[in-house]
Amino acid sequence: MNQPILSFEITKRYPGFSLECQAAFESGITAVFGPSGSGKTTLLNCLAGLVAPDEGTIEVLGETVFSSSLRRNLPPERRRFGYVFQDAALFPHMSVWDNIRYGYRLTTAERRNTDLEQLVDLFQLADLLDRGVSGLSGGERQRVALARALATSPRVLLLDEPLASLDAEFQGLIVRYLRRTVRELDTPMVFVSHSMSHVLALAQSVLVLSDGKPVVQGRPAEVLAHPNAGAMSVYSTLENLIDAEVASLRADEEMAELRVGHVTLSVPDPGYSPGDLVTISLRASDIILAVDTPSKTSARNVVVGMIEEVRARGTRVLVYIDIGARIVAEITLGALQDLGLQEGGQVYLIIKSTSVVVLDSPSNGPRRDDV
Amino acid sequence: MDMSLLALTLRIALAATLFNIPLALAVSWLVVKKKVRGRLIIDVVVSLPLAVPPVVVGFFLLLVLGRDGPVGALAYRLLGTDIVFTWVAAAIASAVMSFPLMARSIMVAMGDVDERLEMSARSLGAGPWRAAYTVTIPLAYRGIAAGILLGFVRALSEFGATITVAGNIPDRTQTLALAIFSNVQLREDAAAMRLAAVSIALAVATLLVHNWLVTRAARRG
Amino acid sequence: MTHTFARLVWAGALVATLAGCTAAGGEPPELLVFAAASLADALSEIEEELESSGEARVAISYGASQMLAQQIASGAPADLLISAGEFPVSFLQERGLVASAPVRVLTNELVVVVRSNTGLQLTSLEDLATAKVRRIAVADGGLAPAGRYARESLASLGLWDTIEPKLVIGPDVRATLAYVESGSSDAALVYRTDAEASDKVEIMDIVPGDSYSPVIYPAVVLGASSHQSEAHVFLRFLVSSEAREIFRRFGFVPVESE
Repeated sequence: MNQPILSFEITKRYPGFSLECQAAFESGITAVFGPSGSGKTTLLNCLAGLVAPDEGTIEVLGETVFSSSLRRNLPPERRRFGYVFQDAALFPHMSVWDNIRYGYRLTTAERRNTDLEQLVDLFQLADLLDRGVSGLSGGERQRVALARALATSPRVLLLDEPLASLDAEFQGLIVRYLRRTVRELDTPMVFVSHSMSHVLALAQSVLVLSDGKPVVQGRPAEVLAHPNAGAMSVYSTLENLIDAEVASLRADEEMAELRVGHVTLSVPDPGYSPGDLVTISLRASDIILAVDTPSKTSARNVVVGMIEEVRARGTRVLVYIDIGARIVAEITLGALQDLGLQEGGQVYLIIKSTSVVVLDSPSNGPRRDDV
Repeated sequence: MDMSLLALTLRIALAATLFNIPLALAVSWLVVKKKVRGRLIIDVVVSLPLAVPPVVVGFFLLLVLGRDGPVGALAYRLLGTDIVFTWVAAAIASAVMSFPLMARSIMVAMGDVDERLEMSARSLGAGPWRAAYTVTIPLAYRGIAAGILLGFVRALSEFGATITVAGNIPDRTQTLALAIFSNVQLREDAAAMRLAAVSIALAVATLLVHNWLVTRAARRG
Repeated sequence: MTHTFARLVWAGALVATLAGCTAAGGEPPELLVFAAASLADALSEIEEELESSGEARVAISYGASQMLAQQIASGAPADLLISAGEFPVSFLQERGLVASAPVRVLTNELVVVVRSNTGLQLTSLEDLATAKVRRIAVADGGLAPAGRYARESLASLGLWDTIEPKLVIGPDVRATLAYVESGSSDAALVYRTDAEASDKVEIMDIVPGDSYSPVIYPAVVLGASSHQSEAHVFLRFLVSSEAREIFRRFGFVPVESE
């Protein structure tokens, strides 16, 4: 895990902007984070071979795919990187099945480490295979694009803002699929995003770019606390995106019980069935922390967890808590000191049921094609 | 209506068009997709026959294809015949004059294909050629077909360059356009009108198909 | 869809090429004759005579004489040239492109024409310089000898400078005539034979015969011809009494045989 999968040092100049970036990525999921115009997509395109840097080198698993000094520039079709565009870029003149097969047919047998059945299964595309591309929903398109890219058994999967053009209801879905991909296929991924919530949800490592230059690289928790990582406002919109399963329903109160990590959260029920897999979104700033069991509060959820990390940035503090899943809460420095919270200690989380947003559409009622 | 005249006209126009198609596809792809260096110059050169008087093109072709010219001399050595004043020269003249229309239409059609589709194909393992014929061309084919038809209709009516490099020889190089010219010259107005009607009918038919293709292409995109 | 279209294109191409091959590749004419446009009416009749007698098969390509000569010099595969004026023939002689000495076949006369029923009366060439006549059409001297003869005539009478601004230049004699017929020009200087072929113009016989060089129509067999003997046969036919009779009917004056 310490051997870099991908390492590079590149310069690319455009009128009015230049990208000068040096970094190394390990396996697992790496995010490239920054505001628009920071050069993230340019970096991705350079890695993929769609754009040639002006100077520098790019190495993948020990192979030099680009070197300006050696005049070596492996074209995209030989680099064996998968690439998923922001809005899928599926071939409109081909069916879903033909889209997925496109690259698979071009991959030699000894290079393949998945087969098409496995991918169709993984992304649950069996019912969609004969369909044309134009009638698909955003979530379906992204799944097809992922299957298509992974069908070539790429060494690295590159994704350009994979969640940005999706409605909220599909974001949770694709987050789950991406996690599943890493679990089942072990393909290293690099994705570009301007949403710290997505980075937090998916990445093990993140590289922050600003104005074409790297600012910091590290674990999301470290990076979020970095003074140059971004505007302070990122905290206030920081969402937790966590996998959950619908455990049961309380029809009388119109609530659903969701299993999240080790704990159970009650949320308003817009029509789920027990067994449904969902992704919940919960703002870091919506979580209240307590050191004692709170008595009678209006919040429906009080759960307990263990503090893993505390990262302060000025007067804002992010507390990373393990509840069987990783969740982050935002409090003030004063509150941190008053409560005496420390890494390793136990803490109570108070969460209003209405603060928990379930991203996916319920699967009862008119049946939707995506799960 | 003299069928041999129509047949010769069609033969010359078809030969010119068929010859142009692969060249127009290649040049358009180089300019629009590969974005080669010097593509601005290529675009200007390709468009030249549109912009200069046809006789200039004819004169230039005469220099090149005549027995003293580089191509003509080679042809004479290899085949023992002249190219000039044969239907081949007429076809070459038509090809050159209609090429800009075909190429420019094809460039537009290819340009309308989202670049990211070709990029996706490349990232999936397709080389530039494969990406072109599995993605670019199938998606652009209506616009490409329209461009080909436009080139064909232009080749059908080519006159100035043709008469210069191929002359106006009945049954050998006299196309519909040249026959109309001769009839007017010789004051055979009735015959000229008949032939003009045929010429117009051919043009209308081709243009109708062209426009239908272009609207279908636009609707799809 | 692409396949269907491609197949249609190939089918169409095949059909047309086959049609072109069978139709145009039937029996190629024996002789390719390049002739001045002004000879068209007369020569077509002569062509019919020949075809019916079965002596030779000809294809005639008409145009402006100098343009035809230039095409020959560029490699056009003509067997024979019948030119209006001797310049195109001497042009070819200078370049060594003729097979034998040219034969003088016909002469022609220059006349002034005006559109019929305009009531325009001209009594002498000098009238062209007056305000009665606003535009005068002549053929392009560089392409059609008729234009050069017209200029020669006007210049010899000292009228060139006055008349030159009023001139409209036509690419050949037939077009020149058309200008008058359509009214774009008030008058034109053309050959008598052309004028007589049109029923929309009136001839004014006001060009003095001695103001221009004689208009000779020479015919010459070309050196590059691969049908030399047939070409000479045709040449002899041109000066035969039958042919002469036809030429006379159209207003030409055949050259007396030596």
